[in-house]
Amino acid sequence: MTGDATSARGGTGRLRIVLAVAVYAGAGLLLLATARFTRLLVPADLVFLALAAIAATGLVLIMGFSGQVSLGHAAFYGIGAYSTGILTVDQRLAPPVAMVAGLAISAAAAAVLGLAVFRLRGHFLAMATLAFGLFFFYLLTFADDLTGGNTGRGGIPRLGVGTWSVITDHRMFLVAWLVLGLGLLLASNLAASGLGRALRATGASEIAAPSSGVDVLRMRVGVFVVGALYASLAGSLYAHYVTFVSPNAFGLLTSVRFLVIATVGGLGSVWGGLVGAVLITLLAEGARWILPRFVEGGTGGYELIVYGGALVVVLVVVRRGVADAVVHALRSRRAARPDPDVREQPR
Amino acid sequence: MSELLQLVVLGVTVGAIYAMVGVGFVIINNVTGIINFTQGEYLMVSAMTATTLTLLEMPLPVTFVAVTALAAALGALLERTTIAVARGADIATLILITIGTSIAMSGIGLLIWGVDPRRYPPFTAGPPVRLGTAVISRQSLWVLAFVAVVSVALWLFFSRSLAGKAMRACAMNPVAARLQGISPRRMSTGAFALSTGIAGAAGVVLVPLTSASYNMGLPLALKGFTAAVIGGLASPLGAIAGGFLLGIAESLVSGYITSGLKEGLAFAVLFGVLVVRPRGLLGARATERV
Repeated sequence: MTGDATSARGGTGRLRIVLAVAVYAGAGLLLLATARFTRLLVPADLVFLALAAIAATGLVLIMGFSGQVSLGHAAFYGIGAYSTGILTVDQRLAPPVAMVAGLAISAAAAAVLGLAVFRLRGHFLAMATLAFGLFFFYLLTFADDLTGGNTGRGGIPRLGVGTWSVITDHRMFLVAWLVLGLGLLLASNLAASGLGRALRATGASEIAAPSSGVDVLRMRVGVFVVGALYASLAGSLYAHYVTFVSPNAFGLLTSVRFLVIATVGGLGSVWGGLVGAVLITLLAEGARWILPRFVEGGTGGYELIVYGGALVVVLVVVRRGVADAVVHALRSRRAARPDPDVREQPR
Repeated sequence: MSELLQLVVLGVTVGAIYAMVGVGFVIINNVTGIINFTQGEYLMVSAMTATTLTLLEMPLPVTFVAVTALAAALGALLERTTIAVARGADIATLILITIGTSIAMSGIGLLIWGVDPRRYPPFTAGPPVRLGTAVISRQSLWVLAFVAVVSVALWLFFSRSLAGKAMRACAMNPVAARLQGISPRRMSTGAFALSTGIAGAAGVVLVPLTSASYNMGLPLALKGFTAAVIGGLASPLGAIAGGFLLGIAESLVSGYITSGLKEGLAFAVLFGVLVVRPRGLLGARATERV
């Protein structure tokens, strides 16, 4: 986030934004090309990659800003998905209206959860979010009048404007990529704002920040709500893409996946969610693509081993996350120039 | 009335398993400050290994000792190769490392033993034992005896032995412990070996009751963790008490209301205790970090 903060103030700010947009569009094209010319990814993988990146960007905001771990992020993804799914099917609401309703429900849930858990520290906070996520998953299976229980709910309409309907994977990828781009823009603006500075201060020191007049609890709950909105939006898009929701997409393993994406990508840069989503998708699909060439029969066990093992290795070796490491490498090349943000952030 | 007694008996048996997983969370968290989600996987690996050894007609006592030693060695090895290397990383990273290890271990389990659940007969054959108006299976008695032995052994270990006292010292004040010549590194490895060894032994005792499958680890870890939190996540005996409480509560809820509520109960309790009473349900005095 520090790199974006510098660019917003620097004289070359506009150039950098143009550059960032170009890089972002190029990355999207590169992914499309990968799906078109290799067997590594299919277009549907790209959609899920973009959706995971949106949700993980919210988690990067929560964890990067306030230093709080969330092991229940999939719950907000699920609230978004089920809200739009149920409202568009039962109440016949238009998808955009249902999405906004989903965002409102997620925001309310995140605010209540945040107020309850942000008095806790470290482990206890992470574990309370874990318990919340597990309980939400249980509710999905138990409240079957509303959610359809384990079988889930189907018949959710696709997105569309007028006669243009999001019927192909490529169209859905475009929509998701656009939403992700807007989300990244919003996140980097947030990071560069005075609010972002106050937020980072709460993450850096729980004693110094309140001494400087920062209302830590309000800041944390606020950023938690914003992070939950990202997940909720991603969930809504998921529901309209798959046209079907069932509990398994919103359980503990999805929360873990978002956390892995955010942590591997890096919590120190708003790009962490995107970088992590690309890396983890390539890792998972790469394993699925390569393994059948070496082993006979079912590969499920190998996939779990490669995924879990690679996760451990990446976390042990690249502790700060990949996006962070890249940002630091770029910065050390221009180390001669003093960077005001480095001094502000002693971690 | 007889129904109540029977439900409590069932709950106590299930709770004993939660207790054995929960106690490992506490020992590791006390010494290293880490929540080790791999805990349930050691139980899976040892339970599955025991099914294989039983098929090879290895005598039960030998299987028990071999599998316990295997789990303890595996725990120490993984601590040395992952947690110790990443020391100093933040909480999220350490928790994720244990979750990653857990995923990989369940993959290894799937690879070696396949998807079908396995089991072997109870330790001693024979009809269930009458307990007033209730009945209890013979294997359940083995499980309870096992938990009683482990509880006493842990209490003796932490209060009488030098190694146990050194671990307690590490939990209370790592800096002071270090000044007394206690190596936190060795204590961390020791805590992992102890916890995973207990989980491993529990796995052998568990199989005849519930059968074993490659994906049994994570659900057990979550229940064991809930037991540990009920006990305040600080005292091994608190975690054991927490395990019994959770097991009995689950059994009563599914007996008197509906079994569908059981899962939700555990997670609601976990959330409620963490938010309202993070020091555990059993009172601050019982949950001093030992």
